[in-house]
Amino acid sequence: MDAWTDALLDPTRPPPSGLKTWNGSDPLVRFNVYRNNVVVSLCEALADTFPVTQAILGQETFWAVARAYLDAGNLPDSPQLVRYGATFPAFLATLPFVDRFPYLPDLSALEYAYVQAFHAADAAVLDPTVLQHALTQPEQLPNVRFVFHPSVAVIASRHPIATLWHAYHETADAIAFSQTAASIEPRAEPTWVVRSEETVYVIPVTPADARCLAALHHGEPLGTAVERAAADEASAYDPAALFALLLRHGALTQLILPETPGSNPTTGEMP
Amino acid sequence: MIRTSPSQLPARAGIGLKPEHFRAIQESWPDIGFFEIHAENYFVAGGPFHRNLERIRERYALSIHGVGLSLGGEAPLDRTHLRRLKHLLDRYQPESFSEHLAWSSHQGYYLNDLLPLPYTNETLTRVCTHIDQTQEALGCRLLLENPATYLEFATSTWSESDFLQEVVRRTGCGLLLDVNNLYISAINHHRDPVAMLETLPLHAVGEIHVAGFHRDRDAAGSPLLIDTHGAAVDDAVWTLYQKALAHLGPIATLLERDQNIPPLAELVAEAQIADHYLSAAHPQPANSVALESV
Repeated sequence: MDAWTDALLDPTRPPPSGLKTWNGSDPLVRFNVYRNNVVVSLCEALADTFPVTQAILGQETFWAVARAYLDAGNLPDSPQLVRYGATFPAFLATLPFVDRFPYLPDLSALEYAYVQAFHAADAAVLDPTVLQHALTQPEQLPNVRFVFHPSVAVIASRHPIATLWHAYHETADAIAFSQTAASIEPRAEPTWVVRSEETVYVIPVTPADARCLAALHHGEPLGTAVERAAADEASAYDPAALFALLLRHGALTQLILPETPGSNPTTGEMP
Repeated sequence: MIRTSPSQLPARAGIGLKPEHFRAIQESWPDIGFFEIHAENYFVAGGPFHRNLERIRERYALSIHGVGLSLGGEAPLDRTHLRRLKHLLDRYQPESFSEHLAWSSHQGYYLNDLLPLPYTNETLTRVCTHIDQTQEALGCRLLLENPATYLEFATSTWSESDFLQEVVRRTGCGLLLDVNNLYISAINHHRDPVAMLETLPLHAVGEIHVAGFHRDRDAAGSPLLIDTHGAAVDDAVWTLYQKALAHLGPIATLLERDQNIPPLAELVAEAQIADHYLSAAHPQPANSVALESV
């Protein structure tokens, strides 16, 4: 199987020895059926996960890049092909032509995050009354933390990735899309994804909201997250708009109150 | 013929469950005997795949078909993969679980194809050990699918049929008779498909697959059929299928389609061809051989 695996992945190698054909014909043609199955199905798996990236590069270039990704040893490590391609965005970033498409690594990272969000675990969303109750104790708010829905991911991009993503998925016409992509104004567009019911939402936010969201998502308390958001801002940062978005999309599942003298830290029981 | 199959699927035609059809299925609830899923597509934690499958499972019999366990692989079975399979089977309680006589993983890589095995004593021992371990881990018997192959091995000392007979005898697994694969392999290796059919462990068949193939040529210009699941079932396969039913009586039959997937109604209509043949097949009395042998 070593010889088979090596020969399947390297078209310059001859087929492995010990193969038989009933008519004595060259086994290469028959072996190439397996080669083709492996390479085409894996490139198709990447095309399924990265449709916008494919639309931007064009099918031919995308397949050449996908093939190069395979040739660089990036094969799936399990049959769960929805997980395949986690390192594809980083691979794109190493290619010379990425200068022409500086947004491509982040855009493909968004596409990968979209697929993961689609299949992420289900979780009950936060009961809004829990949040309302927390707001009645403003002195505790800076120490409150949140648990996010498993589908949530944040891509802190300096490129207009959400605009490109929506343009592709909302434009039926491939030519119209490539014109949009070619004329896109460069701007920072941090983006997050969340699944609500059966739909994954791709949502651009301001850089300040993105910093706050990323900090909360990493498990930082609200006070720290707000400080991070305010770091580069001239005026004070108000997380109200961000929280409205998070609640509307069911992005929060738990609110963790700070431990107080009255609470039992081992059981996490609320005071 | 005594049936020893582990499958509980109804003796009707089924189709593969495709996400493209989730909505159409739940709008029309087609008259289909069962749905089949590829296990690995449902290894995901949550989301629409499971939600839709749960709703559809409530109304239909279900076959879970593994494509990535690599039963023929040289490496030990992937314990994580087995655990995920067990979880999936516990959750959906399918009427049948099946896998392939093939390998697909090596050196820690998943190659995403069903690769062929030399039929040697060494392979036999390995495949049987892996099937034993799988049946043990899952707590059920599996159906093993005969492969479509494009090459044979000089080292093989067993015919494919004898090899499958022996695997069934040693492990107690059943056979998923893929009539398309059988036809493809027969043509590709210049054998008589009917003779091959008759030497398989037919008493253990628990499910049948039919599918479409692509016609190509090998280096000498001889026909080379490629298993694509991308076209309608060929007439030659329907003919072989009827011969199989004549031996077996009616048995759950999956119409496989994984490429160029047509609208639901078109697949259902093609599945009705299988249903037509199934209703014309004479049931084989389950105990006739047993009585004769007394």
